[in-house]
Amino acid sequence: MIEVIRFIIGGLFLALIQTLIFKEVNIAWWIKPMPYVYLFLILPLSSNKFAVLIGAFFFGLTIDAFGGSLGMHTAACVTTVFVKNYIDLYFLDENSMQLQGMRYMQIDYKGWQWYGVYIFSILLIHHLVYFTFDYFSWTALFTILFVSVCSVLGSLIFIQIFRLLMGHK
Amino acid sequence: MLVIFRWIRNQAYPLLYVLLLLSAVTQIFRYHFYQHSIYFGHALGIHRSMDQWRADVTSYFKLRTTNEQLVKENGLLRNQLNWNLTSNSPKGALTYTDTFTKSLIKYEYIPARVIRNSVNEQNNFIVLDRGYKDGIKKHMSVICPMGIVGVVVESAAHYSLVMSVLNSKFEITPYFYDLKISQGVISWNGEDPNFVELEEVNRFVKLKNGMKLYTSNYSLLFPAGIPIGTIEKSESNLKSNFYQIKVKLSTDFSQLDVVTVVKNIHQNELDVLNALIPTKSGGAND
Repeated sequence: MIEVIRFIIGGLFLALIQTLIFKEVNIAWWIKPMPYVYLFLILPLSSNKFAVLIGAFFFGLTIDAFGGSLGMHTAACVTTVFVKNYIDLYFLDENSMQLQGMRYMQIDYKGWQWYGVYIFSILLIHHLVYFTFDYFSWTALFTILFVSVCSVLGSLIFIQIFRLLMGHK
Repeated sequence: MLVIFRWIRNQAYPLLYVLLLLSAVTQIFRYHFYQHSIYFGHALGIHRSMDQWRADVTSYFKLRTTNEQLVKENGLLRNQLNWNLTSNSPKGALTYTDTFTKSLIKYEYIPARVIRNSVNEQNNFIVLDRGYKDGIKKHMSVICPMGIVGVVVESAAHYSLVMSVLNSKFEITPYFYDLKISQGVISWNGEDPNFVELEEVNRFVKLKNGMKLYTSNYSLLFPAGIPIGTIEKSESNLKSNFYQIKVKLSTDFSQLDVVTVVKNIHQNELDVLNALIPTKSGGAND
């Protein structure tokens, strides 16, 4: 229960940071970092997937409510959490992680490369969904891809900063 | 039912995802003007295409109803035509009212459907799905949008028997629109259902192929001005004073479906007078 509250508070904190800082700070038109996805990356693998999906919905809804982008973060969050289940099946082995005392994907699990690809793919899905709805045009297909990849790289940097600040491995 | 519940239970997670995603997408299209306009622009386009497609398909199923409506409308329009009136007053037809019928109308039109028809017999008859309960009586003329069809010879309660133009006993005098004369007798020789013969036209009349023939205002049965056909071929020789004329009928009798029975409101008066005129045959001629 305490862990759930921790996640809720952490989620609110990330939502506030996203809407107050990352949304307002204009780094470049092609970089729009959304490091709040980090919340999904540190979710324990054994979490109830239905609860996580509904939680992601309300988390996205909160960011949308704060930032005035109704629906976009919600759609991206819900899709990310849904697809993450299948990515986890490919990247992670629950028994192996339990033996190593890990609850979510960490660098120590399979090294930097695996960790990087894992985070990059989850972030890319999130950003692609977000920017697809944001641009919402077939003619902007390459722009969507370009902005998504650049923003993923931006988000990765900030996620690493979060990791260091919070002492996560 | 159990299978459906089992499937829903097995697919609960993807279903929940789809539900939540739809909820999010609904918000996007509802609250974002740009996405809203693009989405509903496409949706409207698809909707209109679907509508057009549906209308194209359903219009085929509605053809019969549409046809019936057009026949009714034709009847109403015919009622408004000048030749349909009892007389034209010097100040215009619409100011004239018949003292007897208290009406301007001379003809009434009763739509009917052909339920039996033949074109291959020597004497062809048509059966209509309307009878005396619908106001159809003997000697009423039958027309269709293409031209004349025949004359009612018997009427039961719900059905009527019509002597087709393609009947050897049917005769009618045509009106030559180009010459402004009514002359001759049209009858069928029992051969080609698309053609009839026109006889007793004086060979000194200047005929041309393609001349249009209509019912004349001398007709006791048909309203004037209904198409009969066009002159296909005309021959004359010195042995006879009359042409031998072949007329192509304007009505395609093999395609008859909806027809109109014409009721002359003054038919009783005409019948009384007509009885005094000796006819050369027992057929329904005018």
